[in-house]
Amino acid sequence: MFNIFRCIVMRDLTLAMRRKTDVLTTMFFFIIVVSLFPLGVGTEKETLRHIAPGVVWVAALLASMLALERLFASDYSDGTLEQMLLTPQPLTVLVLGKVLAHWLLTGLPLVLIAPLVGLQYHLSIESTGVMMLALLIGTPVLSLIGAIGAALTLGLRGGGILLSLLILPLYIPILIYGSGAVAASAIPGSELQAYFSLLAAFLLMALIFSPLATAAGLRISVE
Amino acid sequence: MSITEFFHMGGFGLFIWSSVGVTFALMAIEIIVVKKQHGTISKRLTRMLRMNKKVDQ
Amino acid sequence: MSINWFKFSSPATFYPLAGKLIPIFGVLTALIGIFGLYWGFFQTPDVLTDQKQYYRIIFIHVPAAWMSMWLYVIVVAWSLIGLIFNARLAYMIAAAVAPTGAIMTVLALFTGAVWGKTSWGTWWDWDPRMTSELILLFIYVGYMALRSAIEDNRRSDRASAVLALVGLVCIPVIFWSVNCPDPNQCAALHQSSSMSGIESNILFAMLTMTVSFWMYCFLVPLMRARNIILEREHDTAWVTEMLEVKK
Repeated sequence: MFNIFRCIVMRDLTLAMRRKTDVLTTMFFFIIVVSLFPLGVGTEKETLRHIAPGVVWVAALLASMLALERLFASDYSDGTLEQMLLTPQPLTVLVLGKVLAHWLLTGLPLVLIAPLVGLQYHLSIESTGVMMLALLIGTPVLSLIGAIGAALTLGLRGGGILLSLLILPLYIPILIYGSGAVAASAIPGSELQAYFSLLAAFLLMALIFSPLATAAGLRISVE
Repeated sequence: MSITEFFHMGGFGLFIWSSVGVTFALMAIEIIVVKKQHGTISKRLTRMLRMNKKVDQ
Repeated sequence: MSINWFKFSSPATFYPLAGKLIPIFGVLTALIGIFGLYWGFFQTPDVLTDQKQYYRIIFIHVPAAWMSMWLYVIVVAWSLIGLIFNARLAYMIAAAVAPTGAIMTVLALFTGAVWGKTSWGTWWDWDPRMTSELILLFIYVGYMALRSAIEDNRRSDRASAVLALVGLVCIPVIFWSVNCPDPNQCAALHQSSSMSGIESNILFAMLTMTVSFWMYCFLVPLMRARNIILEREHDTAWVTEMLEVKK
């Protein structure tokens, strides 16, 4: 079973490496959105520091949202997905593999460029570290929840905007605790463990439930 | 209690009556819209039926 | 007495049954509503100790808020029945209930904002309850958007049912996270309601209005379910027959 999982991940990564633009567009979307805020609200240091956690997380939400549309789309249009549904292997494992590959391509880059945002918004080094860790735990949850929506809206006209309507409200807990952790890290002596425990709990929950729901959604959409 | 006093509601009349009004207006609109929908659907289906009959003859 | 429930699960028998029930629920909604409003406006004190006459907004605010949440449970329940028994009618009822639920959510938000203006002096406050209600509206909108975006009936039924279930799992987590954004001091609920301190006449009027709203939430979904059935089953024999008799 692990072999199939690895096979799917490697396949998706190889495919993506042939067309690097997809990865780069997500990352640059994130950078652009984050850079627009100081232009809109002013470049005062205190304000920027204050809004940084929320801005980063909202930008991460939107970036992972945009990338989701392509999660199953190309496999659907060339018929690979149908073949995958027919294989005897459990569909949940295939889904998990695809989501992991998707996260490696769109979520992980956001974590890695977070320090850049930290510099733009004058965050302290500790805050930047907290932000990276929170993004590291939180963005996989975004990919997992988003996969459900991507499966349900597969092949629909205007699927992208519909997807955001379905999924963005479900992202709220991640947004609250992800940005909450970053905001709390700016206050000396605050306890951060609870935030990370909650994010990790969400990750575990999403790991269990999301592949099931996504698999069900794929079967409904492809049938 | 006089009628004006009743509608005045101790100075909160506007708030209370707008809430009540909007609520019942929305409910009434919902009922009317659904009813109208019913009318259009049945009319369309009857017309389709008549057309099919003509084709059969 | 045994009722053959599967008989009622066929649209052909449900359609006339719903047609008979609609006037009953209509009359109940109106009568109970008028009685509740009468009690709320004439049998209750004008001035409470800390709240003035604006408290009368609760006679529509609380029923709308309760119904908005209750109807989501109903949508999920019928979706689940649809998925388990593969029953077309269950999906149609779920589809018929959702728009009424969304309207109740809008009403709860609107009356809540008016109340907020009178008692806190602001139309909108990011109070956990108001935020939760707003998020519930988003979830209703998402459900209805997905349903209307898919043209194939079977797919749209089942996809929206899965979405409703996912929403049910997520909603408690969302509400909880809105309620305590700081996990280290979660105990403080911003707004706690106490049913115990409420005056009995006010409570009576409020519960009466809730029953009236509930009857309304039978009435309109039944009407809408009939429309959905008619639209979807238009090429079946019983619809053709019915239309011919009517003519």
